[in-house]
Amino acid sequence: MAWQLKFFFILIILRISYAFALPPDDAQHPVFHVLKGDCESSQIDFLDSVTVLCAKAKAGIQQNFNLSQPINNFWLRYSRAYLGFHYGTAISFHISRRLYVAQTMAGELKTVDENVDGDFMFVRLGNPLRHRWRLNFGKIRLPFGIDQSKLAEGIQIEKNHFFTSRAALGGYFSYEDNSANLIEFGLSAPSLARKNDPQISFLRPNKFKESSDIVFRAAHDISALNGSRFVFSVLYNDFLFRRYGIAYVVSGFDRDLFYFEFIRKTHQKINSRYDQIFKLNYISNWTNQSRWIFEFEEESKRDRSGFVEYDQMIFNNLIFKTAVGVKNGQSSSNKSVFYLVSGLEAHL
Amino acid sequence: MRLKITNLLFIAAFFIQKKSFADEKDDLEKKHSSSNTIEEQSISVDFHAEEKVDDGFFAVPIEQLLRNSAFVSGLNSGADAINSSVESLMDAVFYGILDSDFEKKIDNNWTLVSGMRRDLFSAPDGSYIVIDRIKIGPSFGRELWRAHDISVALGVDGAFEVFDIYRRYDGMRVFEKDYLPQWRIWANNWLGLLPILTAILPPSFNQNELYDPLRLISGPLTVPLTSKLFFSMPVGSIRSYAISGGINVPVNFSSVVPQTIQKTLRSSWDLNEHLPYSIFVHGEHRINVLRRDNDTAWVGLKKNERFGHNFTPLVGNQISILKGALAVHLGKLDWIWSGVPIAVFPLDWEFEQSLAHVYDQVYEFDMRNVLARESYEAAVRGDFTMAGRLHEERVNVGKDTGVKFHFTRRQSKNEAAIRNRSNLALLRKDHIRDRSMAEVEVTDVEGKFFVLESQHDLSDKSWDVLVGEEDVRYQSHLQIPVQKIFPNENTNNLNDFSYLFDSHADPLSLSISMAVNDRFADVSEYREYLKKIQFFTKINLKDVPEFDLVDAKRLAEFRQKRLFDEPENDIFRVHVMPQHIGGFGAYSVVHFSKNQIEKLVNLSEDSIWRAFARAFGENERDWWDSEKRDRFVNQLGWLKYFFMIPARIFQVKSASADFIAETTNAIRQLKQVKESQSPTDQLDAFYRLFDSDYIPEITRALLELADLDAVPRNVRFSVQPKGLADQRLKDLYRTLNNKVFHEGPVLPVSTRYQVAQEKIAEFYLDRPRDGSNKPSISRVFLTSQQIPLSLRSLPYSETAAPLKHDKHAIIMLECKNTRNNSPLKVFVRVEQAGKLKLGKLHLAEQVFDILPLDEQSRGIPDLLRYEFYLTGPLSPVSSFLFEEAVEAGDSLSVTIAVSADGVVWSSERQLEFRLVNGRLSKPE
Repeated sequence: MAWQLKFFFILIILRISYAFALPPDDAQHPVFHVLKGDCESSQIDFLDSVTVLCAKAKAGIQQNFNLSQPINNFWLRYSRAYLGFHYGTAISFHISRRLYVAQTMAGELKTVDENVDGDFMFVRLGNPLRHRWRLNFGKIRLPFGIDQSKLAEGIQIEKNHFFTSRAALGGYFSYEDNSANLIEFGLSAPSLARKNDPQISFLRPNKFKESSDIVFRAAHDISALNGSRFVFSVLYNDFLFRRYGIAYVVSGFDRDLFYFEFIRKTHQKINSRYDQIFKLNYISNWTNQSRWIFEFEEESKRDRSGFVEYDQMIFNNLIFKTAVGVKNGQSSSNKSVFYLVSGLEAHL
Repeated sequence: MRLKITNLLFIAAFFIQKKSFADEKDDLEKKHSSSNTIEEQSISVDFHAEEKVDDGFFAVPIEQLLRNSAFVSGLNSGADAINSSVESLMDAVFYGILDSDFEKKIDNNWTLVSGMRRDLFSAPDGSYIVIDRIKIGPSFGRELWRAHDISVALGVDGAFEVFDIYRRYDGMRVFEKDYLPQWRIWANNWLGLLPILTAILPPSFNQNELYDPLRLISGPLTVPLTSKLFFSMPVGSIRSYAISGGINVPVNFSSVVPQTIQKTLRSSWDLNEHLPYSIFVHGEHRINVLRRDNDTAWVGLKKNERFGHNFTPLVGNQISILKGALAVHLGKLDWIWSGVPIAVFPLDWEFEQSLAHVYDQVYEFDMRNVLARESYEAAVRGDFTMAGRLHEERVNVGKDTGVKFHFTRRQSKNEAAIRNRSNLALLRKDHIRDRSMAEVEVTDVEGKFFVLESQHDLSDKSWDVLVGEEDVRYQSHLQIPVQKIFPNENTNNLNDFSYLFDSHADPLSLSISMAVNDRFADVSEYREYLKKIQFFTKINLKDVPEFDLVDAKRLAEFRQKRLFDEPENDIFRVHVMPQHIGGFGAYSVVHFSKNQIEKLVNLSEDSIWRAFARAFGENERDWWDSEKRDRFVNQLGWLKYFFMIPARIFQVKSASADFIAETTNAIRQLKQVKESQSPTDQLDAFYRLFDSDYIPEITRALLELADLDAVPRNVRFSVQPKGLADQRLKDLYRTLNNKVFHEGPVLPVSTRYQVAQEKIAEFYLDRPRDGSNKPSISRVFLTSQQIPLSLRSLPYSETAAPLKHDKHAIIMLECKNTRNNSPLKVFVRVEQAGKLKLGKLHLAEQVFDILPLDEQSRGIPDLLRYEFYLTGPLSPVSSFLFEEAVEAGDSLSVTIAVSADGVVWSSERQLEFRLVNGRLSKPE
């Protein structure tokens, strides 16, 4: 971690030195901007001579009601911070950190699946609007499929995460033609295979070995509705598994977002064993200070879940979230388990 | 055969102009533009006189629908059962209810197979052409033996099939509520479910796909076997029914696929592979009945016998998604939804070769004549003897029999087809290459004549779930008029004959056409189509409208969002895509006369290479002469060609790689055309010249070689502006409608054979026509007006929206072909307009009667004026939701059509507006 921080500070110092050295003509432009929230840049557009700090943060508290098994009810406190430091448009540094504290109603701490961890810290060379080729490296989540959910955190931490990527030391190249195509290729540094992967828990510890993830993701856009995108992904881990993903994202006329995704994971160590997931999501645009989220998932034709969430902005930057949902399948002994989640979330 | 598509309704260009309302209706002619908010102003929409326009741009030729490949592709291979691919999510979830196949196993070998299907095509005038199809028949299948896991089976099948093809208007659907019995209204609307689905589903959902299921099911009962049933057919509609049967011997080679490949396919995506080869014999006997006008019936007979073989390798599977998303557990009832079937067939090939004997015959019956009615009833049962006799009596004796013979045609065809389809559920790509060579014998009213014919049909179709289908189709058609000579006149051997060029008949002709049909084109596709048309015809399309590729505002917004965005969001940042402008259709023809062909074949080899190099995008200097062509670097082009052959499996082709092979073949065939002494050799050479995936490039090369001033070429456009693009852009796009560009001399008049073909084309109608003079709307005039003082003092009913202002939208129509002394039926639909939502909102949809105003419009005879309030308490379409939307100042889209009888409707007219505090305004 230390070297990354050092690098970050060196960048800032370099940038400040550069600002002092600016010729008088450029002095009329502010050299350092802080953007927050969506980090939209209506005035800074395309200036190479600016340094921008994009800051996002949120914190919230939620209560999860398991209506079928009240003993599993819990409180969740969470926060997430993201900083993007853009040194001109050619180089940027991105860091994100999440914290979860879950507590049962009896006051006991509840373990949160470490795979929920969305932390990353990496450097990006190039900017999506200025450069076709980009390189991202650091502690980073390799690009695979959509790999995101906008549902309330209280629901997300209850899911299993066999199909999501964790951040690891590595990097990836991106090529984007600024008209319809995005191609990404990356790999993570070799590391000890995940011992806590329940799919391979039967292996003896000495059977684990160092392995890398190699990933390829390609997206192609077509002009349907407000724009639609096909996403194809392949992830190869020479020790554990391979993952194949196909997804389709549609941006609606009202900037609503609809996407579905199918991922299949085949296991190297277990012959003819595979898991798969099908996801269907709808996220409405914020209109009248509110939005809807719908998510359906079917996992390996065994477990299904469906959630509907309604978010209402109470004041600027304060959101009231309510979600209801149901899970059914082998993991719940084929009984339907109903959920109700509600909470407040504050944004920067 | 390419069916020439002619005439139907119209949509002429229309333009919206804002107009001063100072002098109200008397000053309709003065128009000038106005400011954004329109106070004391109005919207006047003028429509050009209705012209016939080709609906066929938006429909498929009926022969494609009649082609019944299921029977010939080996029912017993199992491949066809898997490949009942679902075209769209709408099809899968909703329309699929009326597109169903049912199989009832009778025993181990026998199955009763039945199926029904509805296809709907939108016509430019706003109506729909509905094609209902139903079939039923037995099927026998039995494995004969199995060797090394390769199964050989025997399949026998037969079917009775009925088509019902008719036109449906939205107005007709709404008006039916006024006279149909209540149970039928409920049945037509699926017990009320249909209007609800229309209200909540995306705008692409078309309720006409599902409306009136009873009509589809009752198809077999409506076969017009009697005069009475004939008169129950709507004018312009077609009923077609057939008995068909076949035998096939399928052999499945799936087991020869290596186990490792099979395993990989299954474990990665659950895909299966099939390699069925089949030999088949198939026959069909079809009767077609067209109600051409009120009292005229055309009855056609088509007999088709085919013998051939096919090979249909297939990799894919049908996957159910959302399976189990809905379930009911109620007592003993356990129901789980089987989900949405999604077809994933990355590889789906079909190679087919067959010999076909086709017989066509067409008779016309005047149904007012008793004799004609009698012979009609015999003809529709397959007996044309009486019709033939009555025609002879009419011609020879002058007796008024009411029966007219048009022609018979016998074709002996060599057919071949390669179809390559890739279906990935959400998008599909079809590449189809059909070709045939035929000896045709035609008997028309003037006597018998013979034609040798070669046809190629190259179609590239792509489809995706959201914007539907786009199709670019090239066809070449060569006709050589010949004499059939029997060398030994005394022999009875009818197979001992030869063909000679017929110098007295119409000369040899070669026509190549290009048809583009895109249901929802964007600017990028539009530019691409124009480029293709220009390339194909060598016509300078200088006056076509031009548009910006993307919406500048959206692009700026995208850039703002992305510049400093969090990288994790990259995957959601879909690029700003080209603007959608609406439906696009174009039909272009290039015609080479005999003289031009003679000139082409006499050109030097060097000039042919140069022309082909230009057409294939190569540097012509590299192929200038034989010395340059023989260079090692150029000859390496053959390697490129061979390397690219496997890529064709995935529909990847490269003009650059195939250039050398295509040009070598073209030179060889042109040489053979020049040297051939017999018409059959010449036919053969032309057949092989166009037996290619590069018909546009070959045509272009021929144009490069020809004398352009002597080659007639033309292109006609048909467009349907729609989508989110702004109104100004759509108005500009609309100006392209019906525009014709022509270069070179006029196209030659139809030959005798073409006349016969046009009759068949008309008979196998791509779209039904309207029988009588349709009413039409020539002007829509919208303004806001104070309701009369007397009414303003009346109390409003409790249900009506409170009156916040006393000005309401009033519509004045100017109509033609309507009756002065009887009420006019007006169809009005009001929807939310402006920024489209994912779900559309129907605010009102109604048919009502109004009487014409006393005054005659602008002194033009036959032009009548009608007037009605669209909003407010006097509106016949008023409803709570509608009035709420008006009060809220929502953007509204109004669709209007008129009819005299509720059956035949005018073209639909649309306009958009907002009413803000009683003032008309532009939609948001």
